[in-house]
Amino acid sequence: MFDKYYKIISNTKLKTNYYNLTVFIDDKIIKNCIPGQFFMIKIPDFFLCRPFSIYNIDFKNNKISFLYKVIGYGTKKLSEIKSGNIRMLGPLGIGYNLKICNKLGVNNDIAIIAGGTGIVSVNSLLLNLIKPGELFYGVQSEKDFLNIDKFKKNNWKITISSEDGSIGYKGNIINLFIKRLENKTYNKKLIIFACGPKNMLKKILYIAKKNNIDGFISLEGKMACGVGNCQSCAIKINNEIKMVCKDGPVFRIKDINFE
Amino acid sequence: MKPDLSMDFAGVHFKNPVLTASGTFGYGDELLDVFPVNKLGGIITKTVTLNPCNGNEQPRIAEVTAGLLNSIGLQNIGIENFISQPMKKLKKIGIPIIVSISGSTVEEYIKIIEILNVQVGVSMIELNLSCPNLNKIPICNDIVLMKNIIINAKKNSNLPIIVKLSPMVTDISEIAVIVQNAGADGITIANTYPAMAINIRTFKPKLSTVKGGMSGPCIKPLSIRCVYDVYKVINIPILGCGGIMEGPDVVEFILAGAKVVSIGSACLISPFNLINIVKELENILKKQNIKSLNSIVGKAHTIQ
Repeated sequence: MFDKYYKIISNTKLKTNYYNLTVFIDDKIIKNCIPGQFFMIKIPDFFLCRPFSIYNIDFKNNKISFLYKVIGYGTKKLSEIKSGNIRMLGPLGIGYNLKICNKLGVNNDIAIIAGGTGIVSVNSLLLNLIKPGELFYGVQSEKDFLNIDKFKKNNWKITISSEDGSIGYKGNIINLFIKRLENKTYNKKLIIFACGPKNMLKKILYIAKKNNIDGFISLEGKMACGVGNCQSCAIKINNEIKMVCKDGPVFRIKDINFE
Repeated sequence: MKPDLSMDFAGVHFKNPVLTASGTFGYGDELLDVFPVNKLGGIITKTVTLNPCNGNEQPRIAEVTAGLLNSIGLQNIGIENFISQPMKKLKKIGIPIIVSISGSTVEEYIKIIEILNVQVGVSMIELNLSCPNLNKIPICNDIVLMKNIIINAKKNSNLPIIVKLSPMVTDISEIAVIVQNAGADGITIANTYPAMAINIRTFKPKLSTVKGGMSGPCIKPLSIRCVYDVYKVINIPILGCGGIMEGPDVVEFILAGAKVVSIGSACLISPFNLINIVKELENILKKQNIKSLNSIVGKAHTIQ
């Protein structure tokens, strides 16, 4: 965990309301970054920091990036910063356990299920996986659809849906995933990685348990501190209170049940 | 020469006056591997109750101008789990550990104290009689119950007992005198301020509990006033808190009459803020040629 100022390389608009913040990060810190982790970013004029998932870790060029949607005053303010330094606390939380991910990946088929900005968390994982799989990516509408070229380049099979039908299949991405399971398309056992809205993850967890599928899900939480101190992101898992920030945000499917 | 930041407070020696405020540094053991906890003056743990408590529904936190509202609702693992888990690591840190406790009856307090009495590594107990988020009036607003809890806590404890008060009372000095007369070894001034915020898009309160406790720099002058007033009327030492963000804020609390301080909201932004505050404090004393922090406790009362 480091608390320091990072030099902003760029903070560019990708499409309406979506931005990519990229900062320089030194060797000492980047080697501590794990896909699925997050940073608490101090936005000027706001009292508390805000959590942002790592979108991309570029070990070669010492760069780390965050892809975010402008949804409130804080993210709007962040989107207006174009240069200078920005204070961040991190890397924080439990990311995807790459050893386990790849151990499971060797003998299994892999699927990633991402809902909306959930694509951010799984994107950081993509290049660390042992082999390509299938990406299920659901958005509200075409205007929320983010670039997934990295998946294409790495030979992932891609299934897209939108609630309004403006891109890909019309409907919920989970239904497409269920269909694929029912069709028994997968040769081997399946391992999944999922990130998205809580309701989506609840359904995924239910489906995974029913079909005896292991993998990881990444949760979201409203946080003040990001390190387990304030307890505001508490969530009930297996009847025990866990902190999304410290015990997660990535949880292993076989370990959890949540209400 | 290095200025002396140490303080003796209620029979316990602190190498510096910067403590973590209850509920803003977990149980105190979470960051041991990634943060130099031993550089702090001491730790005040998250409030622990007799039985585990789930706390309030989400959302439990909301930002306001220059601060935040919280309504965690004393979520904690209960005293038995606290002893068998975090306490094991806490006692090895080497700085004073103050365990914050809360209960709804005198008996509950006594039971928790009896458990803490036999623990190695606990330096002091803070009675949290002022949590604003429990859907009932804080204990410090019920004078009879409050007195009874303090008297019994003192009778049953072999550790120093300090009492954390709410600032939302008619006259905090009056209550502080009652706390002192009931036998408390020190007093924490003050807890968060009942407050509320509403989302103008959804028309809903920002906290699940509607109201919560406000902390952060927005409350600092209010708490300084409380410390100043209480210092005038009591002899037991004061632990000051409320909106400390940097070194000069600590000096202000000490001048008003606090011997040590606890810091919460600044720690939520980053625990490293606490380390910086200790450094800043040292620099301020150097610059103003003050040899020991203890020499300026309550100085604002004599110089006017």
